[in-house]
Amino acid sequence: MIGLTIRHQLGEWLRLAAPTLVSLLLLLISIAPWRPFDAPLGGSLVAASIFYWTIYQPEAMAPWVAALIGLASDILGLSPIGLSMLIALIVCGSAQFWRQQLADASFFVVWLSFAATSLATFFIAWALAAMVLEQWPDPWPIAIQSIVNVALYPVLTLLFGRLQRALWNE
Amino acid sequence: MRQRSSAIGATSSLKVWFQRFSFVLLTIAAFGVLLIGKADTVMLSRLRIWVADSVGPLIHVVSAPVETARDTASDVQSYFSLKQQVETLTRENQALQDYEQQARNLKAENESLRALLKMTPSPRVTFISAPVIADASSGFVRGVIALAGKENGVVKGQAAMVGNGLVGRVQDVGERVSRVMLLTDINSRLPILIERTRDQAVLAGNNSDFPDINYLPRDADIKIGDHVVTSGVGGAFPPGLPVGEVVDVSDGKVYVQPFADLGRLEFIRMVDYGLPGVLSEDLGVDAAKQQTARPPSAAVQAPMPPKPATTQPKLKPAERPAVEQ
Repeated sequence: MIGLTIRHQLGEWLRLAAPTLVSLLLLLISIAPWRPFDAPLGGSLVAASIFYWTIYQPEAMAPWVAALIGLASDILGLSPIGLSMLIALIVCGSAQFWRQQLADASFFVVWLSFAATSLATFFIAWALAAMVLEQWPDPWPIAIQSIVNVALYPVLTLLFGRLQRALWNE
Repeated sequence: MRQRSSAIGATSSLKVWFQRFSFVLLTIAAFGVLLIGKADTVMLSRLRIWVADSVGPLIHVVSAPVETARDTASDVQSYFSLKQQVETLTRENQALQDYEQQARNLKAENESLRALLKMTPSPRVTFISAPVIADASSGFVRGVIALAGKENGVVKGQAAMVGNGLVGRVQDVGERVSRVMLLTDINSRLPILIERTRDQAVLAGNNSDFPDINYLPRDADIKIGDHVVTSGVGGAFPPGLPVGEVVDVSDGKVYVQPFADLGRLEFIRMVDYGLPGVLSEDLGVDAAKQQTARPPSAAVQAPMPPKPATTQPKLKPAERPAVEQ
């Protein structure tokens, strides 16, 4: 009986922690010294994870969790601190705002919404970076990050979906 | 009882209020962090290097399979061009043997001339090789994390190099890891010299793969293919370190492609030329601490030999780059 309770508790904990752990793992993979697309990935993969989990498991991806993941990305990478935190919040916020519609929408609609969010965050990030760095940075590397992010979303969704089915039996 | 229920009511209404306004509060917090990061860069760099130090081994573990995959792909690619590579290497080897002979003659001549002039010897050059464990670049900045820190002898401000050119400079040093700002970073400014025309200028990073040259003389005659080397102005790096090649001259801008492939760094060498440099205020503090930690003569003549860094052993003196001026 006690064993079952502990197991249940562990399962609950794992379900709550899995989206955060997956996001942090993606962050570490993003900063590995490789450039498959001839441009740094930065913490771009993390945005897809935040977007997905906010829609499908919102209790495991609260805004403060998204903010902390963004902050971790800022500290581990070299982007102006607070910038990824802000972007993570925007991604989480837009996913939460459209959650009712997106949770039952087709994959293509979700993907399109993610692309629109990525486009918005690209402009916001570029403007904020210009403000912090006091000069206009080359937009192309940031644009590549967003494009890679959107392009990899289907693959990541596949992996997230499998994890979701395994943990939540959905 | 009534007091207790009112306390619970207040807590739950606070919770509801926080949930409702969490986005606004967190957004304000993010802007606050942005401002703090802009105001207190020293604290920020300490925090960053502390975190990198703590998670360095974990990053190394995660990046290991990625590195293996990259190496395998590279091995497969090189297997197919093996014959061509052998021919190229044979030609290069012949040319290098000629250069080696010339370098030996010049070194002997140089030593005898120095002896004649009674010149003080240049500071000894030491370096530490370390694997790159993370590409901390993003759309906003360009940098890498290397697995060698204070305990290996890495010092802030040292030049980071690969075989064929300068990579950047050591920005922050932790106990086990160090952060290197690449030449392409938007904050990087490097005093350089156009080798052919001897024009001095500053190479400025712009977060693209091609940093541009600022402050060139108006009458400078720059051509595509011109080699760019460090000028030594500022005393951070010695003159003559290979930096890159001019690849584009358009709209009054001169773009340079670094010799080092900054997108595929596997190992880098942190080189200590024994120069104090004028990089930043906190570097001055670090340098002052070092000066007090060891005798001045030792600091100038023979920098402390670092501990063997990591998987890469310290190279023999014969393999050192010919940078002593």
